[in-house]
Amino acid sequence: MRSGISRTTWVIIGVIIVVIIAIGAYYYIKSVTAPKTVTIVVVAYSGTTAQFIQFAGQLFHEEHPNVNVEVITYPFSQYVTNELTALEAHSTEYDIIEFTSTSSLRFVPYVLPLNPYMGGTLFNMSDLMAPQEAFGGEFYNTTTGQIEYIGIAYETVTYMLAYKCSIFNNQTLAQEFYSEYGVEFNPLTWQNWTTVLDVDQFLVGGNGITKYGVLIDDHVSHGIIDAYPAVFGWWYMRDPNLNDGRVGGLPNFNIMFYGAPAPGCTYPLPDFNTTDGIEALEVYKELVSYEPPPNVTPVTYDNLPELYAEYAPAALMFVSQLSYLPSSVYNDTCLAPLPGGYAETGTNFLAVSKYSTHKQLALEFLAFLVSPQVQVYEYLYFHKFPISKEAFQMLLSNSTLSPHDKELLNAVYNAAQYAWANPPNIPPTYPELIPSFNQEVFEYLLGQVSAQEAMNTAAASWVNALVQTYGSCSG
Amino acid sequence: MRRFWLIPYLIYILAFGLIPLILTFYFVGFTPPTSIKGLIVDFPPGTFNLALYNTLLFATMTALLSTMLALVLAIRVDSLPMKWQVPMSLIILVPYTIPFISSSMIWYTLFDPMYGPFYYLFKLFHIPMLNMTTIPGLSIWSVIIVGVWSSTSFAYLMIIGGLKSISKELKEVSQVDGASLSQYYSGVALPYIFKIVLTAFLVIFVLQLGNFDIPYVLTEGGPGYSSTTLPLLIFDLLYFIGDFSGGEAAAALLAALATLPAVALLYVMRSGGLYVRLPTIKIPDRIYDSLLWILTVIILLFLLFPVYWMVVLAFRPNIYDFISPPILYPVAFTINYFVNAITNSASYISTSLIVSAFVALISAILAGTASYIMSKQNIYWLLLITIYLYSLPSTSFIFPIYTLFMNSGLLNTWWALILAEPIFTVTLSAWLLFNIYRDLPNEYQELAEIEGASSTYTLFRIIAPPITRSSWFMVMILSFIISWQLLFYPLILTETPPWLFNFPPTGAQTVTIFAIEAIRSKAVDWGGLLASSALVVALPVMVLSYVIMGRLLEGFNIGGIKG
Repeated sequence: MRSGISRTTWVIIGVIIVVIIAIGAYYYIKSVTAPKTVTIVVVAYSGTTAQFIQFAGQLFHEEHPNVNVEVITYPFSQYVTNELTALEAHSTEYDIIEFTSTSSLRFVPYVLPLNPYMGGTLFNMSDLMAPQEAFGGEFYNTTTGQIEYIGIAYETVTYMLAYKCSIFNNQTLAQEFYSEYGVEFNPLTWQNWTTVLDVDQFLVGGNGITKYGVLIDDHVSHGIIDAYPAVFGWWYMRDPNLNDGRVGGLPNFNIMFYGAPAPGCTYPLPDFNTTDGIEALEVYKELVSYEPPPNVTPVTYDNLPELYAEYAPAALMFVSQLSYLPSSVYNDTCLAPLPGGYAETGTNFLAVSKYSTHKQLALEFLAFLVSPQVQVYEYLYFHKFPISKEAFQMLLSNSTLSPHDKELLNAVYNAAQYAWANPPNIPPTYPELIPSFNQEVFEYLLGQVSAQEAMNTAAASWVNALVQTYGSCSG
Repeated sequence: MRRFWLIPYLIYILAFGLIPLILTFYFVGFTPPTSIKGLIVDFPPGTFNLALYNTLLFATMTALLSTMLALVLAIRVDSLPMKWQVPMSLIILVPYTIPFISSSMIWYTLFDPMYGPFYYLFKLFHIPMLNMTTIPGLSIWSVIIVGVWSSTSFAYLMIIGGLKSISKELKEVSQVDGASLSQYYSGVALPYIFKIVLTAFLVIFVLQLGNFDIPYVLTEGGPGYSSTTLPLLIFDLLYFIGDFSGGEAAAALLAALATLPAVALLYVMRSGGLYVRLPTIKIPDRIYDSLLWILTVIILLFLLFPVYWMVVLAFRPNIYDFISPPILYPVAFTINYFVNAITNSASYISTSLIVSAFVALISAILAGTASYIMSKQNIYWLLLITIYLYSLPSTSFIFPIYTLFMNSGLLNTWWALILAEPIFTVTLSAWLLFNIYRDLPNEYQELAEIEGASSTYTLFRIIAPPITRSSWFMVMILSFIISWQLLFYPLILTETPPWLFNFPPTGAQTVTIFAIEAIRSKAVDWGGLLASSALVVALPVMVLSYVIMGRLLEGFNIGGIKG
């Protein structure tokens, strides 16, 4: 009988098996003889902020020689999938995990509540930018009515007005604008959105100085839910019928809901289908009219820096997008709050996994990371804005920084104090609230429905989602 | 023939398929039917029905159109002299070498009617300038177009493999009988390979039923839910709503539905084979040849223009990316992005090369041997399990697999990928080869047994190398490319980029992770990072395909049996 495999093949197979055994033995010996150090593993999305965390880890190691900090990174678009899979499998691999403000609630079941460590025992909350922490780091428990801290913000990210200094500091243009519209051309002085529309008309409609106006995200897949609250915030903060004394709204619900639960409900109702909300929508549409049509070339998070760099005088953007600008444009970019002196936020958070086997060390590292002395490096070496107020002050008094850097720091610091114009991040936000709201607004932008119809339809969808999530109101 | 070579295949699909599937429900909980209702109640009313409609539309149209395009291309290539077949096949395979992530983003730039090449299409046909990806009702068709584009090469590979399995004698006899090209292909070749064409359609149909990458990257299922498919809805249920129990139950149900068409085909085959008599078309050779060339050129234009656009973007400064009307030809040249991409991706490419090579080898050996036994001994229950496992999304296995590798210290190593990834390729390979072996005469095996050959000798020295070599090469290429394109498993099972200067090497992230890193949160930089990265990660697969394509196209001669 002829055998199917030759002797040579069997020898090759044998060699491969021996090699596999040798590699396995090597791993075993290595693990047994390695010195005893503790490694804190941080999982973050790739980019400059991960590099800052690793840098902070090296500093932490200098103070704690038997502790290493290892940062593992994943692509931003996939980090939720990766982290949640590991956590759902009860993985002990990761001690600290990162998430954004809008994805924070998905991680609530897997992270350590931080309330026992606030109030000075580990984290100096008075030094951290409260509005940054509020949107994403806090979880409003509708059952208990209590706020639980689930993560720590470690950088400041605000959504504000970026503008080209060379255009808005041009005295000839400023005089022309003032004589025509009776308001200052300088974005730092703008008090309302009417002025923004006047600028659009002046630069695009009247004189053709720029191809597009002040850019604003109008992407139906996501951007609309970021852009609309930025506009609506002006109305929200001025109407006590909407905010009920809470200028940023209830935590997690934020300004697209009333500032207090509806009577008989544990949750507030949507507030954008009011006169104020509709006015804001109409302004939003007019802003969009000075850029490419959203059904042709939507202005998105991705292409906004490029379009701003080439064609626009200003743009509403997250300050984290500044790093995507060409250096010549970056150096010519100044920052201002949204008209009326407020901003939106959308920063990143770090939390301790409840499956971590080094919880105390992980907490100590987080506290170290957000301490002023370390936060200063976040801007100096990585050009990301710190979360620590004291770090801001230290940077502003740093003589090595350029005037332009200090201007940006000052602008972000001031805006961050009032960065409360945020979209919601309650559980149905992604599957229901965003798609229904964005779709209705998109149809309105294309002229397919009226503003009232769009807002009423969206509000009805939101109420339905609230009932599904929290139950019906009593009475 | 003894069933010894069924055992390795059985062990593998048990260890990395069935057992993890069952254990997943242990991890996440299993409470049907309440767990599945999340698909309906956790989303706006009507979303589930819309997703179901989109899924069926997407899968059907993608499978149908890509199979038809591939058939035209395969007939064209098969009728060319041998020296032209390899380069033509290589050209046709190019779209399939580009990772889904990158190709979806390239198409995203194409669809832009202001800054993308579609500007000229709209001008030419006087169509309103709209971005398909932003229009409800049209967005699903943008997903279908990309699906067809990325699937045609796959279908082509299967169909050309089938055409190459037709013996040369059969073709010669047809020519001697005076049959024209059109008569030969319509009356002889197509009926002969009809089962393979139908299998290609079904494989792509099943693959697209579970396709997540294209709708996720291109439209994110939007606007609203207008282009959401069931896999995307299930993903949302798992990772946005956090209903793991419901999501896994829904995934298992979706896979069961996906196997129904394959089961139907199996039933037909079992009850007497699948020979169809097709109408013979008689067209003069010159006209037939011209028609084929016209269709081929149009199809090649469709397949290759996005690649050309990708190359243009990769080698020009990005200041030319947002100009309207867009510039379609190179006006300025920079090699910076490409060099940067090559430098940064080298270690990722080496990981993908090694892992994919092992996966291809494991798939060919396990599937090539087991599928022969399955097909000759009519082990249909195992084929059914095979097809079902193939239809399942990767989230169905991942939790126990992740835990296994975490506890054994194999996370972030090549071993984790080499051991885990074949579940996607070995099942597909077994399915494809099962159909091919059905048509293989039993005389080969009978003769070998009379000579006293063992099962192993028969499989490896008679069936595989000389007779079905082209089929083995086909499944190896397919397995290699599928492994090359995988994203979810490498993402979950690896942690760091490869560092090859340790012993043993550490880190195991693959090219798809490199490609998606280049996109960041969707590319700001069309050309610099996106296009050059896509080009760099596609190159090794193109080279490998070129090397193997010649072997595949040599075909084999079943007609060696006389009488």
